[in-house]
Amino acid sequence: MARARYYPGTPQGITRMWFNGYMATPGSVKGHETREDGAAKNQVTQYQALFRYGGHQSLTRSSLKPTHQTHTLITRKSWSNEVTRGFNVDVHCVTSAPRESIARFAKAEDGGLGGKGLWRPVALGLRPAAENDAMKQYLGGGFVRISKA
Amino acid sequence: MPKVYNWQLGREMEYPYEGARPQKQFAMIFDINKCIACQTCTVACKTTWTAGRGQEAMFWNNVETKPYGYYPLGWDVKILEKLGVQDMDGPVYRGKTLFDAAPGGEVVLGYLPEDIDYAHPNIGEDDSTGLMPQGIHLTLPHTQWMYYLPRICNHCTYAACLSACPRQSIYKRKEDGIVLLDQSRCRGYRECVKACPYKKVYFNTQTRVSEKCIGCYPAVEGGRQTQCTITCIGKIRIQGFLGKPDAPDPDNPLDYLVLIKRLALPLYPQFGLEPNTYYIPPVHVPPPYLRQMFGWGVEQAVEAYARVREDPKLLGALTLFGATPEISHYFRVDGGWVMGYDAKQAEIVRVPLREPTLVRELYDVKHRAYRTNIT
Repeated sequence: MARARYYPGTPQGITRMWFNGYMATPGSVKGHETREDGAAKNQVTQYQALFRYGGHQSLTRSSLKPTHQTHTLITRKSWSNEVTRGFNVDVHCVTSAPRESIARFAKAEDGGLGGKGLWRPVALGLRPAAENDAMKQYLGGGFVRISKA
Repeated sequence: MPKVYNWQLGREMEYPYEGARPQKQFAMIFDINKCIACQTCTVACKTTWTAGRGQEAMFWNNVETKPYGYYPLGWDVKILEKLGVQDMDGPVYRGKTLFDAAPGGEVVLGYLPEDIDYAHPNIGEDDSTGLMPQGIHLTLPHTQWMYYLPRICNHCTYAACLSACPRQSIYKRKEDGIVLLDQSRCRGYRECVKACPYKKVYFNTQTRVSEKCIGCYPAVEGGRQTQCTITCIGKIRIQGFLGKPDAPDPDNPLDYLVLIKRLALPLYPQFGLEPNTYYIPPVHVPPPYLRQMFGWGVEQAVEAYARVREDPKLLGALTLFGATPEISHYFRVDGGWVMGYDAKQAEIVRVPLREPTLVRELYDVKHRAYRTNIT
C-alpha cells in the first residue's frame, strides 16, 4: 500500500512507480497496526516506510519475474517503443525491479492529515489538472502578447 | 531615476543606480536540451556552500521541471501574473519592466514568498502537460511536454536585489560582475528576497541574514569554472565571461553564442534585470511558452540548433561545454578540432568535433579472450 498522487504523463490505465525504496518491514507494519495515527513507522528505530504493507517488489511474484522463461513472449524493447519477440534483459533477467507488471489499484482513503483538505500546491492551483486561471494562462504563454509570429 | 541601457530589451530603462558595466561579466550558458535533472549540480553546490544550519531548504543551484516545477512554489507564475500581459515583439521591448511596474514608494515590483513555499524544492518533477491519450505519438513541438530548467543566481547587470537593499549590502564586482551580499552589513529585512523575481536570494533562519549564490568566486578568480558547471555529467553548461554587448568578441565562446549567434537566450528578459545566465531553448516546447520565458528569438534559436552540424564554429563552441574545468576565454575551430584558451591565450583544451570511433578486434590476442563489447 503506497501513497499516490495524480500524474498525467501516462495514458489512462497505465501508471508508474519509482523512487519508492523504503519498503515495509515487520517493525513498520506493527507500527501501522498499533499506532493511533496509523503511520507505517517502526516505534523502536523510527524507520518510516513508504508502504504500509509490502514494497515496490510486491508487484513481482518472486525474485524471478513471472515471464522469465517465456522466450516467445512479445514485449516492448527496452529504451524504445519497438515491439519485439523473445529475449529481453529487462524482462527475462533478474534485475531486482519489475519493468512492467499488471496490477489492480484500489483506493484506501484520501491523503493528507486525517484525509481532510487538499495538498497546498493543489489548493493553490499549481498542480496538473487543478490549474487556476493564472496557471492556465502561464501554460499557454499568455503573459506575453505576440503580434508578429 | 537614472536611465540605463539594457541590450536584451534593445532600449534604455529606468534603474535606481547609474549604469556601470563591469570590465567583464560572469555568465553561464545552459543547453536545456541536454539536461536530465540528475541534480549533480544541485548536490555539488549544496555540499560546497550550503551544508550548514539554516540552509536546509536553500538551494543556490536548483533544477526544476517546467512547467509544473518551481522553487520556491510558483515563483514565475506569481511574478508574471503581477506584471501582467506584456508585448513581446522584438527587437525592442515595448512592455513594462519590473522597475517600470514598481508600486509607489518601491523601486521594483516583487513579492515575498512564504516559508512553506520552499518546502518542496523538486515539486512537479517529471510532470508533463495535458493528458496522455492512447495512440499519442511524437510531433514537434510536443503535444504533451516538460523540460528541466537548471537555475543559479543570474548575476544580473541591473540586479533587483541590489537595487532594493536599504543598506547597500549587495554589490556587483567591477572586475567580473559577480553579485555578492555582505552578510556583515545585512540586517535581514528581506527586501532583496522580495525584489529578486527569480527568488535567488535566500533568508537564513538561523543567522537571520540573507545569502545567495556567490558564482564560486574563489574558483573563478583562479580561472576555474563554477562547481555546478564542472560537475555536470551531461556537459550541458559552460561558464565564462561576456564582453561588451556593443562590441562582442567572436573568439569568446560566450560572446559568440549569446551576442553574435543568439543561440542562448536570457531567462525572462522582460523583467528588465539583464540576467546573465543564458539558455539554449528546448526544441520540443510550444513557441508561445518559450517566448514568455526567453523572449523573442526562440524560434530562430530552435532552428539554428537543428542545423548546428552545418556550422563548424557553432558546433565547436557547443563542444567546449563540459570539456575542461578551466574557463575558456577564447576558442578557435580548426581542422575538425575546437581549442579553448585561457585569459593569456594559452591552450587549455582540445576536443574533436566528431568523436572518434574505435572498433576493436573480436579476438584479443594478448589476453587470449573474445570480446563481447564490439560494435
